[in-house]
Amino acid sequence: MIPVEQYLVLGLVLFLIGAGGALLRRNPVMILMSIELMLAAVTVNLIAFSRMWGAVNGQLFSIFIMADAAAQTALALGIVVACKGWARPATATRSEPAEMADSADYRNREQPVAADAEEADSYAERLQP
Amino acid sequence: MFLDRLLFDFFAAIAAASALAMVTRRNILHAAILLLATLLAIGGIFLQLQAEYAFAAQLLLFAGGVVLLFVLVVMLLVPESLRQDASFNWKNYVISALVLVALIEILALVWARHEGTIWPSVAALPPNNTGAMGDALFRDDLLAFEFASVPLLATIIGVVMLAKRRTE
Repeated sequence: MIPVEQYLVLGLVLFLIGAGGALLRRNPVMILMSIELMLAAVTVNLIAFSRMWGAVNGQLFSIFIMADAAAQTALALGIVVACKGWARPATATRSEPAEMADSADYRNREQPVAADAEEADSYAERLQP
Repeated sequence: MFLDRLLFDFFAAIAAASALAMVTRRNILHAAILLLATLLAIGGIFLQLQAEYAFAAQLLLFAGGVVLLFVLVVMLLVPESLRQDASFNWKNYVISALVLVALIEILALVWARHEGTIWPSVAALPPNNTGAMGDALFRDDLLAFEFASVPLLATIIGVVMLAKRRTE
């Protein structure tokens, strides 16, 4: 039998990777994916405990976590899409907040690669009076 | 058991490696596929722990539902120029270092106290443990089961409100 610590260490490693991702990444979709990873890491622990005690309660908890994770993803992605206005094409004419433009981070940021030229053009045309 | 050890090492290595690759990927779609690989490997570990129902739910809900949702949203709604997420600066390295230190510290603690815990020899999982789960879910823990529907209802209402606001 594999000692239970090894499952706990696996859960810990996955959880910390997920936590690091949620803290490091700026993209809201990436943050949500990292949170999913953290939830999945917790279920590993619960199921290892369920096996360890020979009781199914840990599996029940993991089922509840999965249901909540699915619901949370659906709602969070809806909010992200609604707030970002991502359905519109992104253009370079977007005005940035002044304090962002002043910070060194913002000035040193990498420019988005290959912004959709056609999309931006058609958007600019539509903006013309 | 040799087979147990082999399966655990295999799935744990895949899960950890693809999780690490996921959080460092710049392309969001690649990250979503790597998340799928991580979740499938975790499902393999569930199967190795004799949790068949949790394995099926993991495949259907996490791997099937959640990752599909991510991929669909990214491909349909996020413009090409925003699918790259490149923003590394000194703050990121500080945070990574802190997370790494926490990881090493906890691992060292675990290893220092490691005495090779044996599984407690209480009753093993019943062979038909999906049936036992059904008994527990619909008889002993019925209240928890009913309460699990509250967040689902809240989600449905919230998503409908968001969709209404967008179409108006």
